[in-house]
Parts: sequence; C-alpha cells; structure tokens
Amino acid sequence: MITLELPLILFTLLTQMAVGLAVFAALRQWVTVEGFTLKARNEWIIILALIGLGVLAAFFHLGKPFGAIRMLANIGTAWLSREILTFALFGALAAVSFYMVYTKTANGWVFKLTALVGLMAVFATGMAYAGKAMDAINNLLPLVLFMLTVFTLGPAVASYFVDHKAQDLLTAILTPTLFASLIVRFAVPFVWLSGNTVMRTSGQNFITSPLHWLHLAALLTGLVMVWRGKNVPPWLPIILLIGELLGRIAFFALVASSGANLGGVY
Amino acid sequence: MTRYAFSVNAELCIGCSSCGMACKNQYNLEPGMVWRKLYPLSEDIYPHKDRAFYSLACNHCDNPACLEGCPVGAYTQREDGIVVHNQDTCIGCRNCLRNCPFGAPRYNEAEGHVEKCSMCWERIDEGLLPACVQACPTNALTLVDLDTQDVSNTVQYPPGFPNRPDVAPSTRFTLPVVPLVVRRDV
Repeated sequence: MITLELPLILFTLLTQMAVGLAVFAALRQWVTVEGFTLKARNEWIIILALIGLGVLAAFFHLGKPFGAIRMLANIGTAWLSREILTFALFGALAAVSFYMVYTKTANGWVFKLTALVGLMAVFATGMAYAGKAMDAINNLLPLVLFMLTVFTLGPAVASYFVDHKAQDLLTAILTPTLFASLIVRFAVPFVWLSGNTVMRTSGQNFITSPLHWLHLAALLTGLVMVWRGKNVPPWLPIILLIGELLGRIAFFALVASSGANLGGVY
Repeated sequence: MTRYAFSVNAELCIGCSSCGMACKNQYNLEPGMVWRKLYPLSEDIYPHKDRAFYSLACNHCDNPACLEGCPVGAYTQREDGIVVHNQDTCIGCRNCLRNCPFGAPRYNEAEGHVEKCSMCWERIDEGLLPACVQACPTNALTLVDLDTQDVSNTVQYPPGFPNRPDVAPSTRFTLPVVPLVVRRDV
C-alpha cells in the first residue's frame, strides 16, 4: 500500500539540506576564509528557515503534536529521540552561527561544531528510519542515502551563496557525490531483487516506479552539467532538489513492510 | 516465573474470526480497527483447496522492537512477557509501525495514537483468559506459559511468518496438516 508521508518527506529533506549547507559553510570558511559577506549571512538565514520549516512539517506527522516534547523521553534506546535531540542542538548552534556572522564575531570552530552536530543528526535520522519491519532498509542504507542527499543538496544550494572562487570547491565535491549517488541508487533496487520476498517487492516497486527513474535522471543531469561545465548552473539546484524530493517520496512509499506479507512465503 | 504467549493451532482453526470479533468487543474498537486478524496461508505454503489460517495479533516479543524504538516510552513489558502499550502516553509518531516486523501496532487516525493487542492483561490478572482465547470455538487459539508448559511440539517461525529471532516473538504455532489426496488411475 502506498502512503504519502508528506510531513516526514519534508522534514527529512529540508533538514538534510540545512545540514548540507552548514557543512559547506564550515568547509568554505575553513578552506577559503570567506569572511563575513552578505551572502554568508543570507546563507545562515536560509539554513535556519529550512530547519524551522522542517520541524514545523514534522509536527503535522504526529497524532498528538502537543506531546512532541516527550519525544526526548527514551534517548537510551530510541534513535528517534536521539534524532530530535541532535536536531535541537543543531538548530541552536545554527542560530549561534547566524548571530556570529551577523555581528561579525564568528569563530570558525562554531561553524565546524554546527556542521558536526548536523551530521550527527543525519546519522541519527538514518538509524531511526532503518525500521525493523522493512527488511530492505533495516541496515545502514538509510544513513548512506541520507548522507548522499546532504552532500548533493548542500553544495548545490550553496552555489547561490558563494563567489566564483569557491565554485571549484563545490564542483570538486558535487561531482563524485553525484556519481556515487547514481551508482548506489541505481544498484540498490536490483540488489534487493536477490533478497527475500519483502525485499524483492521493494526492489520491484522501485524498478517499476517513475519516481525512482526521474530521481536518477535528475542526478544524471546534474552530473553531466557539473562535470562538463565545472560549475553549478543556477537552475541545477532546483532540478536536484526536485529529484531528491521524488526519491524521498519513493523511499517512504515504495519500501515494503514484512507485516504486509503475513501468510505468504518469506 | 511465568511467560505468557499465544499458541496458534492452524490445524484446528476454521477461519471463523470469532477471535477478532471478541477482541473488538472487549475493547470497543473503532470501525475498521483490528488488533487480531486472520491471515490465510498462501497456496505456496498450504497447497490444498481448503484454506488454513494464522490468527495473529501482537506477538509479545522477548525483545520488542516497538518498545526499543518508541521515543516517548509508551511501551512497557511486564515480568510475564506481556508488552503493554499506553495510549495516553503515545503521541502517534508511528515509529513502532516501522519497527514491528509483524505489523501488530495499528494507527488510530481519529484518536491520533497507536493501538495494539495487550493480551487482555487486565483479564489475565483477574484469572480470566484473553477475550480472543475464550471466544475460540475450536481451541485453535490458546494461552500458554512458555516457562512451565511443554511447547516442544510447536514452531516459533513457521512458513508464512517472518523469521525474526532478533525480536524473538513469543507466539507458538502448530502447522496445518496437508490432507492426503488419493489419486486413482482411470
């Protein structure tokens, strides 16, 4: 059964884009020593807006949104609790980073810490979505897919906020990331075909889904453009974002659950 | 010690759904909501004209994935193994639905929380049988104590049921016997 988990799709996608931007803001500050440009300030505003919109979307997923604060209650065993905690820390650090850029008192270590905590939050997301009911993704695959999203959307959207000197850094990271993402996302559904019935169902769902192939087409377009042009055209981040959105819809809608096959051959 | 578990005898089950109806009546479940359901075995597993069924609800696992993954601690496990879900604590994040390999937790859209079989622990504490077990007309569904009863002639991971020793479901199964078909040469 296909269910469109739109709030979770938006939450994961927007927050991962924010982490990607934060990582590249820290990296650029480290490598190119950009200074406190107006663009850098706008970039942190976008990061904060993405976190805010993502968290707002997540509330719409909950049956009882006013109980959301209780999600920190089971940090001992629940990756979902750890995800909420790390994203709260990431949001707070992003706010501090923005304040420092705004007041031109930034310390590079704050950016690096923000990026590191953001990556830890994505790690927790990857573990939280490795649901035990879903044989195909009950492993490190969600983590790998989410990280690929981070390192795709991060440099792509960051291209709006950098001068031409930093374009080389973006393309140097975006090119291998797009290549790896294409290979992994193309291969995984076919690997699933060699698994049990539930994994095969997931693989067949992906291979027969236009969502999956449109996602791959967006990645391929990005790879060709960045590889040949050695820069990120202004329209490319939008194509990649649409591609990641379609891929995320597929992730939530097309992975089969083992409980749906009770009474059948596993 | 006591370790309660459901025992499902697919040879005795006639697919009447009395168990599921008794469960709905006991807890006044909303229309469309089921905590216990009959699953017909596919013909690949039971190749006969008659059908065989598993009556399944929560399997009250030894290592419940729902409990481990619940961010608000809505799940608890009693000393007798029963996994209890607290609907008032649940905030409806549905993470347990992604984690239970057996599809036991169900989301109640109207109430905004998850629900599942509690093995009628309130009835058990009063010395009664779970409603589903009491309602079964053929004794296909029974309550067993894994610590004191001999269940060596039952199966924990039968065909048609996920083989998940990592969560260790407590439900035990007796498989249906495929009827002997005598073919006569014409």
